[in-house]
Amino acid sequence: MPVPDVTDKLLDNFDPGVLLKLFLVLFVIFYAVFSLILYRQIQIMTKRLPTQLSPLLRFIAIVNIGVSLAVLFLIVGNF
Amino acid sequence: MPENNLGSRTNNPLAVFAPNPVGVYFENQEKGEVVILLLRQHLVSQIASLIEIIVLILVPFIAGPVVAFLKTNTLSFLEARQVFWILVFWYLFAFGFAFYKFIHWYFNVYLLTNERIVDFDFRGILHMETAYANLNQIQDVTPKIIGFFGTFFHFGNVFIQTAAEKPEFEFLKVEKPDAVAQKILEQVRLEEGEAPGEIA
Repeated sequence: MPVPDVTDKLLDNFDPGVLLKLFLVLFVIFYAVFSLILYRQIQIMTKRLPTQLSPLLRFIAIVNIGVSLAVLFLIVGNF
Repeated sequence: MPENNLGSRTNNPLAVFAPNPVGVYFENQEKGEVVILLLRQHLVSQIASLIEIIVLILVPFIAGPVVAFLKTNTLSFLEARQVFWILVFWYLFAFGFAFYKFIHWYFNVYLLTNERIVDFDFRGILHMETAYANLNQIQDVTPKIIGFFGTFFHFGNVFIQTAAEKPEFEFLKVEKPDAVAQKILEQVRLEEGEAPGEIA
């Protein structure tokens, strides 16, 4: 098959939704890593400087990790 | 502990200027060492971050009318559930950004104790720094109030020259920088009157 035909066929079958899904999954993976780092930072900082808000901040950071992982799986399965 | 010239003691966990804060202690605090002043950056200095967060929240509301105004159908291939998940991710990102900004502000703390000054620096997601300088190592303290907001809301920077490993400490955008400088110098003079190694 000539090369222009192959590219035409690929472009005809191209679904921008798939590309968007790939980008979105990549971003959510980055976000999940970011939320993990944020939790670790909070752990370290609350050890150095314990405050009244420390338990609440740790809880929010854990919920943030959970939600980011849940969104990742839901986007992979449902987007 | 009685009130002092800096105001009454507080147990507000979000205080930006907390004389004799209740229940505040830190890693490596020595026995008998007392936190005299806890400082964070003034809330007015966080307005830029607040605007960024508000913009992030409003972008999806603005995006719809903008797309309609441009009469473009570039996003028409998206199904309703795909738009939903994009929005979910967007607001998750907005929350993460806001949370990070809060943590960044909340853990950027400057402490004055009866023995030293402590600078907890949370400069970025992968950059944390803690610096200590004993009061007897402090050589010079310079408060500076610059700009409209600084003058109007009375906040600014306090530069502290030390003979410690870190030669200059910067207490940035703190409330009442002149009172902070005065309190540091007062503690330095008290420390000079103590016997070496005495904690009082």
